[in-house]
This record gives sequence, structure tokens and C-alpha cells, in this order.
Amino acid sequence: MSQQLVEQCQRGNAFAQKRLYDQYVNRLFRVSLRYVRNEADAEEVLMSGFLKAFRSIQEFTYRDDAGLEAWLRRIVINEALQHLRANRNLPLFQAEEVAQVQPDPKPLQDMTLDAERIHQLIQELPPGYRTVFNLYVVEGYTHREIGEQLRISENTSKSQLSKARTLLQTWLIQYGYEAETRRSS
Amino acid sequence: MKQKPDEALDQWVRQSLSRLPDTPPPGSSFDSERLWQQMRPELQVEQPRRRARWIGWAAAAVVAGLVTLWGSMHRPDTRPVSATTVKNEQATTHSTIPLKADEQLVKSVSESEKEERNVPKIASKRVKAETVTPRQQVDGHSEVTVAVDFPESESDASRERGIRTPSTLESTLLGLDTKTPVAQHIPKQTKAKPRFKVVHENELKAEEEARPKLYQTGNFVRLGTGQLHETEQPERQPALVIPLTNKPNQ
Repeated sequence: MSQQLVEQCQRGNAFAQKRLYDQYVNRLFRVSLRYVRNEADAEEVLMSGFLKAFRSIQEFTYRDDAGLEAWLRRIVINEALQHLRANRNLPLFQAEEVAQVQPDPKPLQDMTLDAERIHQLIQELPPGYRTVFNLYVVEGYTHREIGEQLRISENTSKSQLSKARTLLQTWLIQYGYEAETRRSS
Repeated sequence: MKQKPDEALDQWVRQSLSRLPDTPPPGSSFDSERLWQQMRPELQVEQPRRRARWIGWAAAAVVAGLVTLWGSMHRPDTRPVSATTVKNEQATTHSTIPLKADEQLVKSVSESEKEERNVPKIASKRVKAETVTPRQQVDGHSEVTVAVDFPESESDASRERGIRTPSTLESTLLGLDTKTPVAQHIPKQTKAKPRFKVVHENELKAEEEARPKLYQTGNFVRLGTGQLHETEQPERQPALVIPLTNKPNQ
């Protein structure tokens, strides 16, 4: 199904482009929102990501749906990182500053699912921590790759990840997730 | 093997995020349709650009093809000049030979034939040596009757090149213009064959004389002795004169 969609998109079929967009837009919006906290910026990143995907879909070779999603996700992440670099919104936080950062969660009445809570807390991380945490934990990049992407050293990437984990765990304990994290470990 | 606590946290986070519903986050004002409407004009611009690229390539190919075709059609003819072309050139050259109108006619057919044999040589010499005046070269030539056919397709081109048409040839033969260099009037390539031969007038006369006559006047036999005294005719009646030649102007 997705293969036919990709083939039609490669021929420039607008209907197929819309269907592919509908299939992945919400998932990719969440990806974008994990990197750029602001919704307007996330929309901008998503839009430029989709445009780049439709322009370069001729070079994409379909193998399976997971491959297609990974390809689209990589495009959106690259766009997000480019956006962060362009806006100079990627300062790497020092240890002293971390203590002052407090999560600003939205009201919990509708947030019944753990996944939504985790997503929200990740968004609350400082940009430097959040970017390294997302790239390493969620996307599976290595510290070397992160260093190349963010133009930082591997050690800086490692330290940023460590600090991000510490901060996130602190917040999770505050919100009653300590038992949950220990249970999974 | 015991998992490290950091890895446990990472795994738990990954599992939690994978359970996220395929919808925008709660409380988000994200509208995918609005974003698509914003994207659509930019996507539609891409397609004509791609089409325009194809059209551009096709147009370039067509132009290249036309240029090649034109080049092959208008390539200068490097083939050796055929004998027919040489003959035509000679005939044209011969037609523009300046002649004196008051020169004596050549009487014998052999002389005219000799001239015809010599004309191509003279013409070819003139083409090569332009400094020699035509009058000097045609010394001893007699007046000739020339009928040259110019192909219609080449008439305009001939006019541009300065080639004399039959009307101008007449004036040339009357001695009005005898100083124009012959080489200017020689077309570079004349492919059409002349319809008529260039024949000297004396040659035509000789042919007529050589033609067998329908009646013979030299072998009459007189029968009888005839009268001794011929009666004198009181008045001489005008005799009916029948010209021996059938030409109206003689």
C-alpha cells in the first residue's frame, strides 16, 4: 500500500502526496515538537521537512513501512536541528544551571496516559539536554554521530546526556514515577 | 546480565513514547489540514518546474536537430564540377563574349565549326586570366546568334550575381556593352542544361543547302524543234516570282 503511495508520489501525484502526508503528519509533528518546543516552530519544521521529502522522494527506495517512516523522521529531525542552529537556540547547559530548571507541566486532568506525561517532561528539558537525550535515547544515534550533528565533542554529548537523565529522573520521581522506572529496570 | 539503571530509564522512555497515539498532543492547536493548505502552493510550483525542465530539454533537442538539419542542407557543395556544368558555363561565357556588330559574317561552315571548337578554350582561358581584355581574345570572331536558356529558378540569383539575361544579351550583341569582364558573368554552378544549341547562322544556311530538294531544275529535256520565229509578245506581263527560300525575310 505504502509502496504504491511512494511510487505515485515519485510521479508527482498530488493525491498520493496528501495521503502520505495524512499518514505520517501527526507522528512527525510529535517528533518535531520534541526538538523545538514551540508549536509554531514545530509546524514550520514539519512543513519544510515534508517539502524536502516530496522533493527528494525520487531518490528514496521503498523497502518497508518502517524504512519509509525512518526516512521521513530523519528528514524532520535534520530540519529541526537546522532550525535550532539557525535560531542559535542550542545552548549546552552547565551543571549549575540545571538546578534552577523546573518543569512546567500542563494540567494533568486530561493527561491520563504515561506516554503523554513522559513526552511532556521531555519537552520541558532544556534545549541542549533535550536534543542530546532525543538523539541518543529515542532515535538511537551514537555520541559520535551526535557530536557531528551538533558540532560538539563526544564527551560533551555524554555529559549532556547524563545531566538530561538525572534531571528527567528527578522530575519523574516528583510526579510519582519512581516505582514505574524501578519496576522496568 | 543486569541492566544499568540509565539503560532501564532509556528503555522505559522508548516504550512509553512508542505507545503514543497517532494524534497531536492534547491541548495542541495543531491543524494538519491548515498546514497542508500552506504546503500545497509550494508543491504545485515544484511540478511545473519539473515539467518546464522537461520542456526546456525537449526544446533544446529540437533546436539542435533543426540546426544540424539546416547545416547539412546548406553545406557548401564540394563535389567536382561535372562535364555538364562546365559545358553550361562555357555556353554562358560564350554568350557574353563581346562582339562587333559590324564584323563580317563567317561564310564557311568549317570556319564556324572551328570557332565552336575554339570557344570553350577561349572561355576557359578567360576565366583563369582576368587581366586580358575580352576584345583581344575574340579577335577574328564573327557575329554569332546566341540563344541561351536561363533556368527560371535561377533567374533571381542570376540577376543578383550580375548575369545577363537574354534581353541584355541582345544589347551586348549589338555592341552596346563590350567592356564588362567576362569572369563576372560566369555563374559558379549552373546545373540546368541549355535547351538550345548555340549554332552559327551560316551553319543553318549550310544545312539548308545540303538538304535534298523536292524538285530538280537541271535535268529538263526540250521536246520538239520549236518555232523558228517566235511571236513577239505585245506587252510583257508581270511574272509571278516564287522565292526559292522559304524564309520570310529573304
